[in-house]
Amino acid sequence: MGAMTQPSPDVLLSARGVTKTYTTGANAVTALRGVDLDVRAGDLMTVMGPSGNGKTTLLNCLSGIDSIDAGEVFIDGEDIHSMRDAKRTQHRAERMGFIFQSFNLIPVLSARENVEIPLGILGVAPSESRERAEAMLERVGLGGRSGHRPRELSGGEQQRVAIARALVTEPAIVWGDEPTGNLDSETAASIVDMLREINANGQTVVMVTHDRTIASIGNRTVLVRDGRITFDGAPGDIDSEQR
Amino acid sequence: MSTLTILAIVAAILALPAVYNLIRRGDLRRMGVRNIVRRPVESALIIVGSALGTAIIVAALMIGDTFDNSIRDIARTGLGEVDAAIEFETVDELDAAYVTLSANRSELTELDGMIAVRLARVAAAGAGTGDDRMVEPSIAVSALDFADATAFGADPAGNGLRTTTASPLPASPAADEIVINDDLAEDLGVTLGDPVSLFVSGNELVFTVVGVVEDVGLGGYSDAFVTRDLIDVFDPVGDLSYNHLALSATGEVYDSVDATRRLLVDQVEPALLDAAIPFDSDPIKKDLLDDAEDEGAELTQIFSVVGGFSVLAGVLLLVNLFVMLAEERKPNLGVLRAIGWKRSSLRKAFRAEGVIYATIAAVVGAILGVGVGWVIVQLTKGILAGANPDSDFQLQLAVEVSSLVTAGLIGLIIAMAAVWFTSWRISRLNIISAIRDLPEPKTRRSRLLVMGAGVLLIVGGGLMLSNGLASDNAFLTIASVPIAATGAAIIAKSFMSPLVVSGITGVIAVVWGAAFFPLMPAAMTQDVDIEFFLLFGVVVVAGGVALTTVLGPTIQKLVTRGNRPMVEARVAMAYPSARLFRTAASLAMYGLIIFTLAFMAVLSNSFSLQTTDIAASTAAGHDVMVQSNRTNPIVVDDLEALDGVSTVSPLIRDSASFTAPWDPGEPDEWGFVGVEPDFASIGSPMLRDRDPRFATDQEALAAVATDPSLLLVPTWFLGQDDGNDPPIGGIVNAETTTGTELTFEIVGVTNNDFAWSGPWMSAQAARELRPDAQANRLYVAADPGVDTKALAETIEARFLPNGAEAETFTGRVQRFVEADEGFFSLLRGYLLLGLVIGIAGLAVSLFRAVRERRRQIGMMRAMGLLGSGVRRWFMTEATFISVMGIATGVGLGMLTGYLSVTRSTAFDEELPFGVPWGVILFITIVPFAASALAAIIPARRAARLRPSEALRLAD
Repeated sequence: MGAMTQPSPDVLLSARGVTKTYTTGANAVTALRGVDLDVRAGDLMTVMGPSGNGKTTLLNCLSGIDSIDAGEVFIDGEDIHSMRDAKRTQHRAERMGFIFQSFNLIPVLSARENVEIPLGILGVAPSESRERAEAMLERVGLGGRSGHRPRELSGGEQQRVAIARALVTEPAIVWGDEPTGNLDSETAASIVDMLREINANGQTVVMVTHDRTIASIGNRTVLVRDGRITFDGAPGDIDSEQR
Repeated sequence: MSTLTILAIVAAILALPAVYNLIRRGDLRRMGVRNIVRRPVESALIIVGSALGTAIIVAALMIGDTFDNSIRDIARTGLGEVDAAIEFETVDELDAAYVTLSANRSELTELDGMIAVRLARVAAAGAGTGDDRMVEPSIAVSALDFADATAFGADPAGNGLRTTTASPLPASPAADEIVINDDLAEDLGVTLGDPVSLFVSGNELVFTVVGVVEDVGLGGYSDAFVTRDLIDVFDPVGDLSYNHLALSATGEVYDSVDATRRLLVDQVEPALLDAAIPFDSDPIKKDLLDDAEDEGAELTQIFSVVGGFSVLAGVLLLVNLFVMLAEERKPNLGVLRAIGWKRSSLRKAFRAEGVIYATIAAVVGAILGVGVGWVIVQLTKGILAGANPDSDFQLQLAVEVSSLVTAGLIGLIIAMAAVWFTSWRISRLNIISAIRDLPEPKTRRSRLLVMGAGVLLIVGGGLMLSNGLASDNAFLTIASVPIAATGAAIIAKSFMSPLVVSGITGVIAVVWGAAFFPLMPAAMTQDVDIEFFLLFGVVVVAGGVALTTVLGPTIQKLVTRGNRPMVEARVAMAYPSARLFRTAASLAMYGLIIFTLAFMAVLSNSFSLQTTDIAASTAAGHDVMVQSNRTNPIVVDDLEALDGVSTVSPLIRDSASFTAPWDPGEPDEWGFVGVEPDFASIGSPMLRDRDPRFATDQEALAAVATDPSLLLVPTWFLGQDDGNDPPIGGIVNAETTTGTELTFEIVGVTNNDFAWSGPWMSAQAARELRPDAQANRLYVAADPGVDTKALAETIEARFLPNGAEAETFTGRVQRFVEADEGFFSLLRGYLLLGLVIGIAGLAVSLFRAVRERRRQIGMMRAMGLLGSGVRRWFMTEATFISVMGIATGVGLGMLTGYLSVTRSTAFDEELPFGVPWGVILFITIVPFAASALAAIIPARRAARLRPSEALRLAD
């Protein structure tokens, strides 16, 4: 990989030549093949593509929760994959939030305690954590349910707790991997509205989805096929481009 | 039907259906085997945890087998072909009986051999003088006919006298020749041709060793052998020796019991009665074999009960493991149900896998148990040697095949019962709830069943309480209240918070257990069976665990308060606080074992602390107890002349047959002591109860010493071991040598009888009972400042020819206390095996937790928790559980121990309480450290999970 050109000031994340291969026994599957991508501050970017073509891998590699075999991913001017694991993890705690399809809440903690976790990792004082978690739950419409455990909440409510957890540290980027995949259409719509609202408040959101309707809410859509980005543009242009 | 058959039937009922499905259903077989193989570490831990339960049972049975075998072996080594002894008061009667039976020899078809034996106990010494001379204060010398002896009995395993040297035994040794067994030869450091001295009536008789025989059969029956006529030298009057006919019945060493009965009852006794020769017949070998069986059974029982705690921990581990296994697979099982599997198919699948674990564990446990048993037997050998250094008793390792099979079957039954329970539980899953991993909905039917069970438990507990109190049954009573409380809790859970209900039930069980000994009458709590303590432990620990589990969230909040609580600590403690069943099972595993360890440590420590008090209460104002040989007793004036000796109080010690109204039936032979009036001026044994006529113990003893109709007795005198002391004012009769009876009135009960004195009476009464009695026991008071232990050693050396055995009272008590402490240590070591089960259980739980929580681990890593944080999460969780379990066990064990020793009616007297810090630290730190070690591997596994991998696999 050659020397990287300096990204423009509004680029929050810049990936160049990102390659990722999974090896299982004698089989090697290349999930990403030299991906270049810039994420700009304030983007609401959706990542689409057929199943097994590398969407989730792209998200994992860009966010640093998975390693890469080649390439660079710059955030805040630093290549996160050249950092030691501890620093990368710390960076993730400070700058990123995550929302997954299967909410991944800690089942034995209450909604508020779940939201407090990222603050605890950052070392925020308990009293402040509590206040901020309560406020965030209020913001996602769960003010009255902060003491409930995940099992006592509906799927939509659990995902809203997950969103609150992702946002409570005010991260630079929120990564979403099929955040509406486990929800019915009505609940999914409300979650999408919430993400749009978050983005409207200046938060950068990168979201993997296979749902075109949901993809259409973003200002930008990326299409991943066979580990390559085959489209990067406005959601409305995707059909003409694909043709 | 034998126990083994019943166990085999139960095991077959539980295991065979599963084995049948395993063989017949390929799909179940594949699922079961693959589930086991794909997680080898966890499967191994499950098998080890389960196998340890079986191993503990094997070890308990093996200890019983070993003691049984070892005591039975005395039949071979100490009796050989001697099956019965016919005792006679006089030598003339012995001779007459010998002649009579010899004349009727052809009619005595069950008789295999007969020897007339006169046996006396004397002191013996090897060659030399001074400190190097090797001595034995008391050996048995038999005078017999050597021709009869060498031909005695038919079993080559234990007949006759077998020389260990190249030279044959003399047919009839000369008057200055002696044959000794190899044990005595070793003790005296002599061999063929060496001189051996025997000390008789103040004279030293020197013999030459003309034969050394094996310490087996007749050679073990006595230490030394001389010609028949020579006994008159030892016992000129014929009243010091044991005059008897040693009889051998047909059959070999171990299988002559029936023949002995026929020989005595049908042949020998009628012949002697016809000849009007008075006698006492004693089937000594049958008694010995019966004792062996009883001793073996008793030790098996002790180890089984103590091991029972470990086995219970094993049961909890199994249930916990299978419940976790079922929960982990719940979504898959829900899908299987959805696509058409019946409930019965789920049960079969689960049992098919379970039977593989159970069978392997039973076999592994049986093999492992032999090793555990071996270690315990080796340790026991050391303890026995320490408690009684002079004993020739040898533990001989033995394990019966039936013991191995029994233990294996019990292990299999326990494991399969856990599998059946879990399979039943899992088969009742709601399909939707299982697939979506939601709590099981409560149906009206299940609510009714729960209510019914609650009512049943309340009624059952109430009935147990009323019956228990009415019949002084500790077993029923201790279980009653917790059972009723559990019933009430089951019902109350429908209306109240389950946490509150569990907490209240826990408090009730703990309070009931802790207050049991102080509250209940002595008649109920004294001499409770050892099984009671198992139930007692279960009640208290179950209550404690319920309470601790409920308090978990509060403890979590308290611990994680502070300015910067680690997020991983909060999560680590949240899991055990939320997963109540699992946590309770883990806590119970730790709690049960550690409770027992702590409780035993307190009791053991209290006994140790008593040493000085017991010694003082036994010593009656003296310092050293000296026993000398009846054939050559120490002259009191000689002993009093020794430097450092202040006073010597002579006691007559002998035995007689006693009867009392509370012990009907045959008279019991009891050792007694007779004291001179002067004795009481020095002191008195401490009395736990005395006639109110006497203001002090010394006054009571003074009265006994001067009035031949008064008696002091030990608390368990004449079978009085039911919790009640012999009554003050009670009348006791004793038979004199002439057949007349002396009547005594009990005026006091001694506090303990560590000196094995039996009843105390006046010397005058003792002489009436035994006219030939000698003052063969001497209590010595030392001058102030004298080292009493050194004094005892000086007395033994100085009065060697008298067969002097001297010991300080403190040393004597210490010896017994140390033996007790050694036995307690052994039981503690045995219990630690149960702790291994608990720790294995914790490790397995953590392994499974890592798998169950992949998603959460991945999410936490994604959110910025370092791998080291994940490791701390799991280590903290393990620590939290082990600390709660250890604290529950130690706390309850100490509390119960404290109440038991200070407020209890279970012991003869109130015992001193002291915290056994050493043991407490050990049982706190070792399990804690072991738990932390056990958590390292699963914690590292969790820490190494890459976030993307964890999230990807989960999704």
